[in-house]
Amino acid sequence: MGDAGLDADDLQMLQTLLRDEAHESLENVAGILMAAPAGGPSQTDIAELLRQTHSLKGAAGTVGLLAIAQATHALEEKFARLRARVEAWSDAVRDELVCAVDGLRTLVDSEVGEGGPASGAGSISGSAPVGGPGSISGPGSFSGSGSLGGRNRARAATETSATLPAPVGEDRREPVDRRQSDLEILRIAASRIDELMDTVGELAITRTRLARHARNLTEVSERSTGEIKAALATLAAAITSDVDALQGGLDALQDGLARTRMMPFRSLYRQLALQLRQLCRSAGVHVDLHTSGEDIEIDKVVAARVADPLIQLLRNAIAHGIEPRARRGEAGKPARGTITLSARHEGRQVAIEVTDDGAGIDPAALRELLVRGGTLSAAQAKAASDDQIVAAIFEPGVTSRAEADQLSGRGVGLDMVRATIAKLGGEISVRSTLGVGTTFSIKLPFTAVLAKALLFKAGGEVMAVFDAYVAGTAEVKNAPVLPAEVTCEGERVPLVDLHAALAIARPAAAASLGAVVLSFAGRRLAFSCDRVIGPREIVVKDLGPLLAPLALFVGGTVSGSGKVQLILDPAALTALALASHGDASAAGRRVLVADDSVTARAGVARALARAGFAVDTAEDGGHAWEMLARKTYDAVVTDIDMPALTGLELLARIRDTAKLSSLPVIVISASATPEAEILARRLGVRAIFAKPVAARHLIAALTQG
Amino acid sequence: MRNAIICATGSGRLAIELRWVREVITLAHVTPVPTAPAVILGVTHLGGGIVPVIDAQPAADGLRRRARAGDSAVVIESGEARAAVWVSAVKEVITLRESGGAVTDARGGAVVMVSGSDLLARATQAVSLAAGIGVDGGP
Repeated sequence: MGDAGLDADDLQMLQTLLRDEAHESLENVAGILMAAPAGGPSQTDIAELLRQTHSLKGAAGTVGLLAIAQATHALEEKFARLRARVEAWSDAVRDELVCAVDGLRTLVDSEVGEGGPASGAGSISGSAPVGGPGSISGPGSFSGSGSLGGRNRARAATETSATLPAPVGEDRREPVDRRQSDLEILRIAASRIDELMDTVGELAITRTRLARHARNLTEVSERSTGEIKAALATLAAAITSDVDALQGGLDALQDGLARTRMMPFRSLYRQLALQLRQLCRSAGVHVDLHTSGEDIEIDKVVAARVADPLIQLLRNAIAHGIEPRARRGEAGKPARGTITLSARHEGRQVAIEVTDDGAGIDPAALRELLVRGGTLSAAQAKAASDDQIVAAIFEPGVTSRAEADQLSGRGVGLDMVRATIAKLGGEISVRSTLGVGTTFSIKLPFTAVLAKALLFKAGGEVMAVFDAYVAGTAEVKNAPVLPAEVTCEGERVPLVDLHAALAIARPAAAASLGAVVLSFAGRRLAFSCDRVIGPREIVVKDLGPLLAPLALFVGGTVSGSGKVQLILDPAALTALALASHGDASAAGRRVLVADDSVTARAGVARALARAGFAVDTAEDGGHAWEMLARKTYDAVVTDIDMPALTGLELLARIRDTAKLSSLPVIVISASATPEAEILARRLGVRAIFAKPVAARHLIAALTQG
Repeated sequence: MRNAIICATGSGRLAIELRWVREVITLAHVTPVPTAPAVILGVTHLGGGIVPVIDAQPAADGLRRRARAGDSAVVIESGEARAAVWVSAVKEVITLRESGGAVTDARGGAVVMVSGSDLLARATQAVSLAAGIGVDGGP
């Protein structure tokens, strides 16, 4: 058994999990490739392809399936070439990629078949190259109050970075009685459980119909006379009683099915421990992992979706938190860093904390970076408290590292961590003390299926927002122009006209409208609605892959009468508020958008037009240059890689032209190299964003100063 | 020889190859989806889940048509994607002949065959474009 507490059984279990994960990822990859239009997948889709393959590569390497990791790496490289436009998209490329995906799927099945890993496949032994993805030895050691392979904390802390895992064959633990465990554990595909859950939903709708029939029967009985009246009343009462009993059964069934989707945190911790070990080895950092709450249960779907964000937090702790040994010594800290993962129940939520005893976040340095990166204006940064500045690390593009490296390069950033958690109906916060360490606190719903939500009506339809983000409700006058703010608990909160933003009808006859006050990402905002209905427990359902790109919705629920009610994403609503409040500074300002991608061009142009800018577009740098000669603009937003004249060449020409030399230019690019970034900054670019850029950041950069 | 389901739509006939078709349904309430493109008429409840309702022939003016409870729809599936294609009526299931690139019915009349996969891909592309102009999707 290795010092990570992993024995052959753990490894086999992880490899079997990997098989399921690989199949899911490869299905997604194949789906994107097959659905790609003739011009090729969008940059967003390519980013998703890269994310899927990158995650799979890491997972395969972590559990010692090197052949799968290598094959996935080759696929990832191919997608990176497409993203950088080094390779052009064609039907032949699509065929080649789909074939490669199929080949990878076959490889996964041959390495880890239905019955678990193939003999010898992925076994971890001393022959694996140290530092290679298949080895689980290395600088990190792991301990827990529960167990990660049964090791206690004291013992783990004595292990050193030189410890190599014992070959699997030397494991002298009592053999697991497989027959017994097979009898006790029944593996059921999550989709089967979901189907049963859907059936429960159908039955709930039937129950509602029956209840309505019973009410009708009662009304008929009240209009009847004599024996018929008595008989109908008895019948209505009997049906009502049965409907109530049916409801009780359905509630129990729903709850029971939700519980079948549960798994203990221990399984998730094992996966995270392996990832952390790999991260430690890559960075040469020495860390002890402490865990608590191993037996706390979490919905498997929630666990699967929160794994990537947690890995990103670990990556952050290693890349930005834990100091080198020498510096830790100077600070009077133990040579080995400590990362603590904890989980506990808080009502119907699960609270997870990731704590490191590293350097902490320096608010002064971060304040400077936020201004330099265009996230905040100098005035905004000065006015913000240290807590607000630290909370800004969740904003896109914010990093405290000057250059990307293996740990903080292509990975999902903290903005994506927050977005992923928000889509689960959870929330994340951070607290940090300079020199002491950083703690990320995550609150997630107990299950992805059931959630508490506030229902409201907008445009005549019932919609929902997760209760975790609701700070209150209010009422506003239904005037042609809504007030800009509402008051909630004595605080003035900006109001978004949801009807206008979603282009939905307002109830003309109503004298007043409802308003829901949200608290998200340290901000409060309110949005208008026809009226607030109230809190409910809802069954959350996916809207499916077709509607997944619509950022405004995280899913839907089905009412008792069978109507779909959409669930709004608080992150998207916050962005909507920021975009709509950019109106005043945007009004009348003319912006030229240059991008050779029609989709990207149209996307940026529409987002800016929505925010109140007057927008012209150019299909490349040359065209943009011609337009600049003909018309006056207040700012230029340009891609870098464009035919005729690149974005940087355009920027250089602008700076060399007296009447344009002070024109604000913002660069957005899917693949800006460090050299290009340096050149752009030398040429006085106002901000550089990686695609896809959130509209609110672009608007903030355009309206600053 | 290809089997197809022939449907009437507001503006003509639509032949969907049978291999994409999962079921023909009567729509329950269709909930509109704000910010979605016109090809997405809304979402409806089907078998305990949620399925988008799409317009196979969106109006040229870009205005969204209105699907109502009680209308017919053909549920198609390709990979993980699933949608209910809104139709005026389902006419028949027939076998079509294919020769020289043209698809004809038993009487030799030309039929325009629509691939379920293409319908879903077109809808996906329209939604992605709409998402690009959304509040936070970015291009």
